[in-house]
Amino acid sequence: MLNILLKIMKKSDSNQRLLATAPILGQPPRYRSLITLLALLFIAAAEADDDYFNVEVIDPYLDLRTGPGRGYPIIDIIERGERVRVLKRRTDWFKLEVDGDRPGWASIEQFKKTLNLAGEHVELAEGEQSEYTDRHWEMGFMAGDYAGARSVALYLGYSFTPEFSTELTLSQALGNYSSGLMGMLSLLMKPFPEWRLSPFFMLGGGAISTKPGTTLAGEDERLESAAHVGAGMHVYLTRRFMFRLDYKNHLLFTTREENEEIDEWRAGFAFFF
Amino acid sequence: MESGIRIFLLNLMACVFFSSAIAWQSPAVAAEPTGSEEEQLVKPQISRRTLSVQAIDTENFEIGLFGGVLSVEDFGANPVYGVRLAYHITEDFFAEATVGQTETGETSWERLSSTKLLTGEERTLTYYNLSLGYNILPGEVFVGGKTAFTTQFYLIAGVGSTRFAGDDHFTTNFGAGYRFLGSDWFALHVDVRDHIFEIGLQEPSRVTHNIELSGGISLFF
Repeated sequence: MLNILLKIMKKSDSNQRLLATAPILGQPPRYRSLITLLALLFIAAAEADDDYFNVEVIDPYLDLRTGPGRGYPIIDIIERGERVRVLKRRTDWFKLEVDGDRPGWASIEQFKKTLNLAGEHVELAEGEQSEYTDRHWEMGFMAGDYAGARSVALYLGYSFTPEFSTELTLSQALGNYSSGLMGMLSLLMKPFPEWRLSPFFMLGGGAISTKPGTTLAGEDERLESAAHVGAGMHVYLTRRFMFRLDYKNHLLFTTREENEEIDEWRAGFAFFF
Repeated sequence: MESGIRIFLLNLMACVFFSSAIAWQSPAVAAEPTGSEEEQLVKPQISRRTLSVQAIDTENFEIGLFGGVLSVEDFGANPVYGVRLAYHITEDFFAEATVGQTETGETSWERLSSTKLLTGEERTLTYYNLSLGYNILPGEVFVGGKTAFTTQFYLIAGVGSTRFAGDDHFTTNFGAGYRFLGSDWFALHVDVRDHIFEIGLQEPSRVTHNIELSGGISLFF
């Protein structure tokens, strides 16, 4: 989103530049200095924006590959002192360009130690080196067992601090005789966020809508509220990618005489973005 | 003399007008003292250092449309279409959400006996999948003597749900695909996927394998 905003800003900058320079042609000479100054200010601003992507290589060399992955062949090498333009990023790869030509992809591993801008060190990989504790947004999908039925879940998480986060989960339980759609909001507590195998505890609530299958005649669709407690574990596979396992104990507040207790086990994958 | 004063006054008015216009349009620029140009050139570099990382355009999302043929066991092979949204987590792994739909045909039994097993609405099959893909064979293809395109052959598997015959069925899927990158932001796909779900139209219910062949187009953003 930020990139889109920046792109729009960049575009509007260049538009302003045109607007500012256009009147020069038709104006009397006495306004020129003022308009030129105005134009220069915009040009300076536009060029400064352009410079965000221009960096200088300070390591002995940098490999450029044809694609964003270690499996693609190396087609070029950038030497120390060459200025490169960073065009875009995909996962941990940057697309670079030298002298408006020679495009190629460089890995963050090589690139993060290499960059320098206007004589000063720049951490391109800022926030990348820090481990999973610094991340905020997380998304994942899981599958499991919900009281004998199969369940599929998709969740979106946000971490307030490394220890505390919240999660919104949408899941579907698919049984032989009925299916349920659930929306749950949970609070998570991770006592050891820096561990590679990081346990967590959760607490939350939501609603479940149960729809009887076609084999069950005479039953109506029903909506019930529910609360849950649970525990689980994140296993970080890479900086951004993890395996997750959890258990939830749901309490369904039914209209019948007794509330219903349901166990749910799930496993799945999640990533930070 | 008089015209000289008039020109001077006009100039003054123009200056006041322009400077107020600048101040209105861009308060940050006008607020700064109009010092030497070196000052102007140095200042943006300070903010640039903190912005440099975020300013790089990241393209990890991929959105696309696909169409093809889905063979539903007993119900014939029919056109299928859908949308896919993928997020590239690392150079190797990507997560993908897919929604697809097809209108299934009649079973041979229905055709012979001229009775209907399903109503019109029940005959529509809609599925969604949440899958994890692995780019196992990254590569390049060469067109002519000067052009090369990057490609990826991937394996994919996931879970989801299929609504068919009035019920929702837990569905697992697995398959493989080929992504041809026409440019950095545009790709063509060819995909083969097996959707496995249990169907209970006749007791006992049984596991069905439903093969889908599709082609698609996607954009990175």
